[in-house]
Amino acid sequence: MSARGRFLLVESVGRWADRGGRFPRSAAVLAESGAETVLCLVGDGVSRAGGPAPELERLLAAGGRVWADRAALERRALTRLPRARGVEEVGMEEICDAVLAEGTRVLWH
Amino acid sequence: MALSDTEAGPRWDLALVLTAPPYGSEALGTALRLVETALRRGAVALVWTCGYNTMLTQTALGDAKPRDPADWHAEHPTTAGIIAGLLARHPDDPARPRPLGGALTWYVCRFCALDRGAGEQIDGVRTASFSRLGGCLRRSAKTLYLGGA
Repeated sequence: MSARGRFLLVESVGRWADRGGRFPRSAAVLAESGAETVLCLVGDGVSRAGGPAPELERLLAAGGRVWADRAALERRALTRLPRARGVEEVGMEEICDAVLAEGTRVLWH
Repeated sequence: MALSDTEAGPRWDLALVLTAPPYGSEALGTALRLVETALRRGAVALVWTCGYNTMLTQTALGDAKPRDPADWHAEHPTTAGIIAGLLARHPDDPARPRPLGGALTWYVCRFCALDRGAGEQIDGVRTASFSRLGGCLRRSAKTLYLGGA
C-alpha cells in the first residue's frame, strides 16, 4: 500500500446531478497526493462511464483507476456502448473485496 | 472473519448505515448486493436502517409482491422476503450453524420506525434506539454511510 494510503471512492450520483464533477475531482486530488485511489461508479454514477469523460482524465493521469459496476451498466444498456477511456468493468465481487480489504478507506457518495 | 462479542477486536467486518431513501435511486439495491456478496465471502455484516428503510422489513409486506397479470407465474420477492432470506441463510447466532460462513445483523431504528408507523418486523430483525448506533460502529472494522434525507 502507498504511504498515503488506499482509497475507494464510490460514486452513485449521475453526472447530470454533479456537473462540476466534484467527487471525481476529489479522487484525482487523492491520487495526485500519492494515494492509491479507485473511483468506483455504481447506480447512476455509471453515466460517467459512457463516452468521453474529461472529469476522469485527471484521475487516470495521476495513476488512479476507474471502475464501473457491471450490473449498473447492464441495467442502463450501456455495456455495448463506447466506454470512456480507462474505465474498467467490474462485478460486485471485486467491489466487495476492495471494500473489505484491510487498510482501504471507503467513501460513498 | 470478524470475532464474537467475547473476543478482542471488531464484532463486525462491515457496517452499512442506510439512511438514503429506498426509492428514487439504486442505493438500496446496490447495498443489498454488496451485503449479499460480503456474506457469501464469509464476512460478518451489520446493517443499520433509518428513515423509510425501517419499513422494508415489515411482516405486512409478505414474502412476495402481488402477481403481475401479464406474467402470472413469475414471483418477485418483497424487500422483507429478500432480507428474511439473508437472515435465514446467515444467522448472527453462535448457537446456530453458519453453513455459508457469513453472518448478518439487521437493525431498525426505533425512532424512525415509530415516526413512520412501521409495523411488526420480520423474525431476526432487531429494533433499537438510535443511541446504540455509536456503540455498533465502534465495534465495526469498517463503516459505510449511505446517506440522504
